[in-house]
Amino acid sequence: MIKVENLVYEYYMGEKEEKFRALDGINLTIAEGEFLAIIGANGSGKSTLAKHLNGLLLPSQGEVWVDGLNTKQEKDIWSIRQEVGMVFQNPDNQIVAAIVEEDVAFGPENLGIPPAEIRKRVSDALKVVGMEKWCNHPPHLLSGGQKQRVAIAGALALGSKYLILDEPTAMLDPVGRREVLKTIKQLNEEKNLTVILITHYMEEAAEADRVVVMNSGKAILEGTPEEIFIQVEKLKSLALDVPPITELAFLLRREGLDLPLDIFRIDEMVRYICPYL
Amino acid sequence: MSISIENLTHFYSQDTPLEVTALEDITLEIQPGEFIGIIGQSGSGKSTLVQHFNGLLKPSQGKVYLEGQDITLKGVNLRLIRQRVGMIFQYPEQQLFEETIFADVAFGPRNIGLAEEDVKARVEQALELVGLNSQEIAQRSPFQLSGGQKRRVAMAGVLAMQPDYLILDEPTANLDPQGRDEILFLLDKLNQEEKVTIILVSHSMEEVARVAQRIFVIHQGKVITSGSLGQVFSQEEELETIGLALPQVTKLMNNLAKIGKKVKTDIFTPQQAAQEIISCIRGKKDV
Repeated sequence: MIKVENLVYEYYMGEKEEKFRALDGINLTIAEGEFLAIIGANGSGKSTLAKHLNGLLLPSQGEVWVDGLNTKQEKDIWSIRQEVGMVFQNPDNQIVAAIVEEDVAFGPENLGIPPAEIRKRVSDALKVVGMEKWCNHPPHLLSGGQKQRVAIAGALALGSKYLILDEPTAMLDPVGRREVLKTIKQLNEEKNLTVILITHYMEEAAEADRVVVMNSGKAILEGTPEEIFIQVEKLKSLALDVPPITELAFLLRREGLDLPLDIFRIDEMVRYICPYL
Repeated sequence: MSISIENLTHFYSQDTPLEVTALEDITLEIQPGEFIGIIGQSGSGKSTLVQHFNGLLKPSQGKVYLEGQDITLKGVNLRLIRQRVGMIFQYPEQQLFEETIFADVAFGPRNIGLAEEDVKARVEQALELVGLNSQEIAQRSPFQLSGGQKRRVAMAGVLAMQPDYLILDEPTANLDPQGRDEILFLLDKLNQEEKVTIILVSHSMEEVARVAQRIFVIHQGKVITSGSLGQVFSQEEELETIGLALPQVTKLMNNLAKIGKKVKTDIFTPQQAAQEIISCIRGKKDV
């Protein structure tokens, strides 16, 4: 379990060294096996929050606990980072080796794990993300979606229980996005990996068990995708989107049609509209 | 008068074992005042194609004409061509380099030797176009801005050159929904009010559907289909097989039509869909 208590993060910026509060009193508990999505406009504090979950940033006030370990304890930081893997936005910024399997092996090698065990972890991890065929390829010849899956394999090979993905699909085309999202969902459902997905894409957030909405450093809404996306006007006022089908349901309700607002899928919408047409 | 491409083929690493055909026999024409969408997967050749429009790349075979002038010939003044056909690359904010926002936007106009008062007027106008208050921010560093603002400053640098044609390669990548809406709104305004011809390269159908009038779909270096939004989006299966997804509401209307409901399918936004569904329901009640 990851527990965030009254987390405040401040830094100084500009010539006048003005204090800026990027996170302002966040309380959040992430259970094992959960798929949590964090959404919010640029600058709302999503990435800053994510970087606290594995101690890349340390709180100015408040605490972050990962399986009972406090990220402020220097002696525990490496165990925490092993537990909580992170995948960043730009696939090209996180690949270090010249061959896919060496890249995935980089983490476990650094931990001094015996070579036979590393081999097993690497091949298992690549299999799980569906990249085993590419193990001897140079990563720069892979597509963006494939590179992100290799980055995910890197975290799995470290034995991470929690996986944070910071807009992993922002730089990918639709095919790459689908590949990555499918991989994430599968890992969550079949391997019970805890997933924390930061995204701008509402249709990705709609796949999660729970959604947290950030605004100006605060977690202002929290609930199931159904509970969140029915708040169409509220989300729009926060500069966020709702899935297009949900927006349509909202517009049709305003015209007096009796539709539930928690529709995001095309087949559901077809079912609800048919009686009217 | 237009941008006209005739039988354009482009090879990368020509005459080497690594030769790749990036574009194959492309012929198309873009009229002044149009708002064009160019869509395709990563690696389909869209960026390679648009870099021919202002002579950044030369075709291996074929011709590129700008308002009748063959710009592939030797001795063509490419500087003038590039003033008329502006290009905003992916992640243009990475190209910001000056100490102040004013200096960054003024770089192009100064380079073509405009008088300082003209430079100032152009910078102010360009910043205003992209929705930034020149008085407030002109003397600040571009690196203190948010991601979306930086991108708009970079765009202002190109707009200050007052191009007739503006090419944008994935201009909304990495922006949040509001940042994306601001850019799309700006492009629409430039096209409608300033009469700038816009060529928008994107892999998002949803985005192109909101602003473009005509679309070219590129796949493996070829234009596989083109036409109005309705003409292109009616080819759902072909588009899906090359990995391009129709806007969700277009899919919805197609699905309704497939099961025999009498709805229009040239629908691209939730607003249009709501209107169509409501008018169908009302029409039915009248009968």
